[in-house]
Amino acid sequence: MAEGLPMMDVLKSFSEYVQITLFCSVVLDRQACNSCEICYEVCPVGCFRLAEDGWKIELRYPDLCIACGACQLQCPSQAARLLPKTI
Amino acid sequence: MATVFMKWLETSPADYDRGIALLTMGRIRRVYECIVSMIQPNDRVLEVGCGTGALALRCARRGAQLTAVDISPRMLAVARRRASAAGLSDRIQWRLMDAASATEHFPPNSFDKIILSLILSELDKDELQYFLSGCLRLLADGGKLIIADEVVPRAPLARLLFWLVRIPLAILTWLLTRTTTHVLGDYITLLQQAGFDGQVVATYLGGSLAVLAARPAIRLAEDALPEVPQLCHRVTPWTLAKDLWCLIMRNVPPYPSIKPGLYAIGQPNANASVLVTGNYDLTVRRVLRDTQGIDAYLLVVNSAGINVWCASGGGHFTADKVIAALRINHLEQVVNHRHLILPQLSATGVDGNRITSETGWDVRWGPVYSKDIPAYLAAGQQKDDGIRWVDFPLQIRLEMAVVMWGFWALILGLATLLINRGVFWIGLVGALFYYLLTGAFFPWLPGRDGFRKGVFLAFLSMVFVLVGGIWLGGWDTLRTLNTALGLGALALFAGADYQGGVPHMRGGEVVHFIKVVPLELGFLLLYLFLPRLLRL
Repeated sequence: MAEGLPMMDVLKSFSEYVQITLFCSVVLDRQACNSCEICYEVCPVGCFRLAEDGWKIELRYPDLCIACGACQLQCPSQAARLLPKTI
Repeated sequence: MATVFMKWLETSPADYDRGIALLTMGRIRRVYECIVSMIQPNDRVLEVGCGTGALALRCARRGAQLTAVDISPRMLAVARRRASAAGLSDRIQWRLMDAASATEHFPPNSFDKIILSLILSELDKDELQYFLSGCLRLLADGGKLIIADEVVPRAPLARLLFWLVRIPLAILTWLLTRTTTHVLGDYITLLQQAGFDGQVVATYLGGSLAVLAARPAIRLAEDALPEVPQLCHRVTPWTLAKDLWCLIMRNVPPYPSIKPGLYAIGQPNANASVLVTGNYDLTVRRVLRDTQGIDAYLLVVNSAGINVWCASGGGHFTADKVIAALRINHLEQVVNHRHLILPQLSATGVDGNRITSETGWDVRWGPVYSKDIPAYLAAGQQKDDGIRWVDFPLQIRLEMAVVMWGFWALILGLATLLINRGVFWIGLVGALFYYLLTGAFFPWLPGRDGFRKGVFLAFLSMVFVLVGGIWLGGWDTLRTLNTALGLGALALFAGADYQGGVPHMRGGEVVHFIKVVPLELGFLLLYLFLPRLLRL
């Protein structure tokens, strides 16, 4: 009966939010990255740094990630993404 | 009756139609019939806010050619499915766009009828004027605007009843969704201002649901650019009072807000930078304080009165809002460049690539804090690492300590009065102590998040009390254990409460609830049953 009710959608989006904030962290796919530096521009805690090894951007401090999703939203090539943490 | 609930319904296409039917007590069917009766076969019809397409399908069955627009992809998916099931796919074009974009997207004079069913009450006053004048442009000669919406009834008794029902519903909806709808008051005048000659065709539900038809009364002259109002930094008793209010009521709506729109800071010319921010009163005033002596435009986006970080995370500060603000304020005519400077912390919610692809405006991400705007502009809109990242200085930590304590002190005070009056004062003072302690030593406490810092402090305090109380103070076991439990609980709570305070740690409230609530309940149970356990 409850299926499809607005309340269920609210709960679903809440549980998604819980999963992302608790269990996800940023990863950078350097093959897909086009070095536009947008992740470096928007990350509020400084996970990304400019690198000198020919790739320009590296994910130097992944532990700082707060799963805010800014890099994932702005990345034009889907290289920066929030994925479940591998322990 | 109450389209305030629409905001909530919109999240669920499957139940949308049933919900609307329920809210209008089944009258929506008659409303639809009334609207469809005004449609002629082969009319070119635009429906803005088509939802799941119930009305569009009826019009298509009557032989009209439809373009139906909605902002929700999920609603449109349902609508598409229905249209193909009914074999009407070739009569209806479904388009995903918001109301403001819809009036920009199509060439002038391209529709015979424009249908707006339960959408005008979703727009605020500025959006409404902009949108209606856009509709005027889209209508062909002899065209007609058809509106069905929630209105304030004319009859005094009906009006009283209407507000009696609406006000509680509006409050409930605000609490659930932090948004509201604007019921149409003086709709005939409203239409007149937008250049329409409108009349009521039919009313339902005691005059609270009306169908209006309007014909263009004037042909649009190219509208002159409105004067851009000036904002400047001022400190008055009124602003101080608002500062205090924002400080204390940080967590509780309603938030003081300012009217969204374009404002001038200093004396900007056509080359001036365009800064974008949300319409939380404190945010705007902080920006003004920090940009004194700078000439720039400030585009205040409707973020539901919520600060930039929270509004972006919560879906209130989005690319759509920015795009709508750009169009409503005709920014392209005000400046001769195409660069927007958005607050860096809005990057979690505002899709910069979409703004660029839809409007051609280039998005640049400014500094985190408004105090760094002058440095950012002076460096040619470049930021160095000093203004790129969130920090959490002592002053802010202590300010937050007092605010968070103040909020919980009310609840905690009540709880202790109910459970154990004897610990009222020590509870309040102890809580303040731990908030301040956590704030003061925040960077040096072990653990990256507030929760772990709280656990550490709780452990430390409990050891301290157990050792100190029994061996130095000569307390009895029960008193020692109770004090240790109480202080431990307070320390843990204070630490965890810091979690969501800054964009420095992971989403606070979630971590808070999942881990802290069971722990705190455990502490409370132990505290309550300790005397009984010891007696056994």
